[in-house]
Amino acid sequence: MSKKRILVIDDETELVKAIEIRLKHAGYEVVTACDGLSGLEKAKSERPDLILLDILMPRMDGYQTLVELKALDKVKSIPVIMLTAESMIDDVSKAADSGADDYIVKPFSHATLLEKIHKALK
Amino acid sequence: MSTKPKELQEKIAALKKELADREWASRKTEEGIKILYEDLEKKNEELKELDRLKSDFIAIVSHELRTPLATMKVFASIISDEIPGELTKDQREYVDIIKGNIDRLVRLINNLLDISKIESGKVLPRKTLVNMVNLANGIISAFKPEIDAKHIELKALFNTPLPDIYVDPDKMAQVFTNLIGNALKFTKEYGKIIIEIANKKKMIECSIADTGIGVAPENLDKLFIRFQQINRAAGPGARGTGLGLAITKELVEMHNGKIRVESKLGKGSKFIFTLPKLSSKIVIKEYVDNVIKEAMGKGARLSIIVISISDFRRSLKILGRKRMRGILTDLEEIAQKTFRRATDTTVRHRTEVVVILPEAKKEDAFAVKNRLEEAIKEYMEDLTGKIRINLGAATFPDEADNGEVLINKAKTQLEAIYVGLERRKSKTRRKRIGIGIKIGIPGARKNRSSKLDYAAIRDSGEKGLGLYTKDKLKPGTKLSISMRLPFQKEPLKIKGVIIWSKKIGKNKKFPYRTGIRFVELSSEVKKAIFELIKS
Repeated sequence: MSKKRILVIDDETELVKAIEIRLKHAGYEVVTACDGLSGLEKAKSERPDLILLDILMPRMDGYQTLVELKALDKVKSIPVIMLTAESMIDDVSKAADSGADDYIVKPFSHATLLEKIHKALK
Repeated sequence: MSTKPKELQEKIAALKKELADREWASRKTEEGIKILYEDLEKKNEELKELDRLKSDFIAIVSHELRTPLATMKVFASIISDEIPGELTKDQREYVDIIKGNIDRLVRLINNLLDISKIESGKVLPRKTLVNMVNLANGIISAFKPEIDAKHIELKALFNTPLPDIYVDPDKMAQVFTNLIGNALKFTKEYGKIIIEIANKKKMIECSIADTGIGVAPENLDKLFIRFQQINRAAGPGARGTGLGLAITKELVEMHNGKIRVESKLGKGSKFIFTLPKLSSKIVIKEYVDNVIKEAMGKGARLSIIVISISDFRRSLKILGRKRMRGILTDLEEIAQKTFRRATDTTVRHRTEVVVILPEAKKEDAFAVKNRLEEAIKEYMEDLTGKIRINLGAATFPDEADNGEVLINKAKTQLEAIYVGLERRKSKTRRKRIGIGIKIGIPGARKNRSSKLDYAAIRDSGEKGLGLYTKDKLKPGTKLSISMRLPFQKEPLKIKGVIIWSKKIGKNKKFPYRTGIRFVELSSEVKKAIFELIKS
């Protein structure tokens, strides 16, 4: 069975590097993009099995990117997990209502990250 | 008394002047009001802008503080798991310290942001009907590993049955987590924690008691103040931020609840908080309002059906309080059984049950209403005459744009469920008058309708007919009825729909009883039938 490919879209390059190391160590193939636009391009060209999408990004934020992703025929079925900096008290339902499959609150433990990815890929 | 023309003229002139003065004054007032209004609008815009800045600030600070922490946390775990290479004993110890402090910083930032959001009014409870016992049990199980590790005896004393209360489940979960977490933190090994939830008259009371180190009397009123850390035990894991209780207090108070503490130094502490049980009328209205808000946000429709018992007092006298409560519970259960989806819910008030159907258009609601009628009629068989049940439906946004109006609209459209038995009088009369009724079921074949095989009309009313039929008929089947009435030239064409069909078995040839409801009666037809029944 081939490795699952995960696309990470986030403008924080160091965090992206850390996530990449973690996911590769867990046996996933990783592609990255540093903003919404290039993220959309990569989604189309690489056809990942899952997308990790940060919310606060310059120019095109996570929600806008999500809307665009869900509008693309070949891409809209790919599960998306939003990376959010909102806390427990907050209304995280916005992430849920937006059409994302799940959300992860930063900072997160690697166990939580891997668990949610595993769940979304099923 | 005659007035001279000159006096009259003077009087008129004076009145005219007064009128002109008043007009001038009123214009000035209008202008004044306009200016005030514009001023208010401006202030309102400024406030909105300020509010938006606050939200942006919190969101940006939240992101800016949390992202570097996220990066540090992942890299620390990468090093700790020895992905780039093996660690020496010292390196492992130092990395563990780094990890511990990162987590500490995360907790602090979480608490700071929480309290900041609460204080700027950015946290609004999202209330829904919650079973506090289930909620508490969920939190307790999450703490189980820690409880077991410290060999603590945990007792849960829950006063069941406990009514569901109208609260924000996430915030209540946070309250329990804070208080149970504290109890664990300050109680030594082999200690005891008792969690109670009691049903009091106008509120529910929850308490978490421990056999921990307790609080000195002079510190009791400082407990809920921010950043006050009392009894900071040494060692890892016991450090807190001093914000937990302050946040807990805010969360309880935003539900109009109260929190207090009883404690004895060296013996233990008991934290008690109460939450009011809102009158179900307010609950229903607020609940429907919230569901409407959600529907509005999605641009979706929403329908409600109100099941109400009219003449409640009369029925109460005949059946008694216990029976009435039982009936309401049964009605709610019947409603729940006719749900089309998992998101449909019911809320109950003294004399009525409100069924909420998210994303239901008018037609959907109508369909559910019909099914409900059928089910309730069956249930009501032995209660006729003792109770009168009405159903009314309304759809948002077509018929109302807020909860109160929607409920009222549904109530104004309450129709008594056709019971049939009450209209039995018409049976004998009709025999005398002699109505010919032809009922056709539109068939699969084009323009061919088969006649409905029925023996006799058991009863009829304004709403429909009850027939003895040969076969069991499928509810929802549409019928075309041609009714020839004695004083009408042309037969009345009426559309009907089969509501229910039950085997009664009394008559061997026609063992089924079928209920048919008239659909879309024109006013003339209604009048004609009414006249018929009256006569």
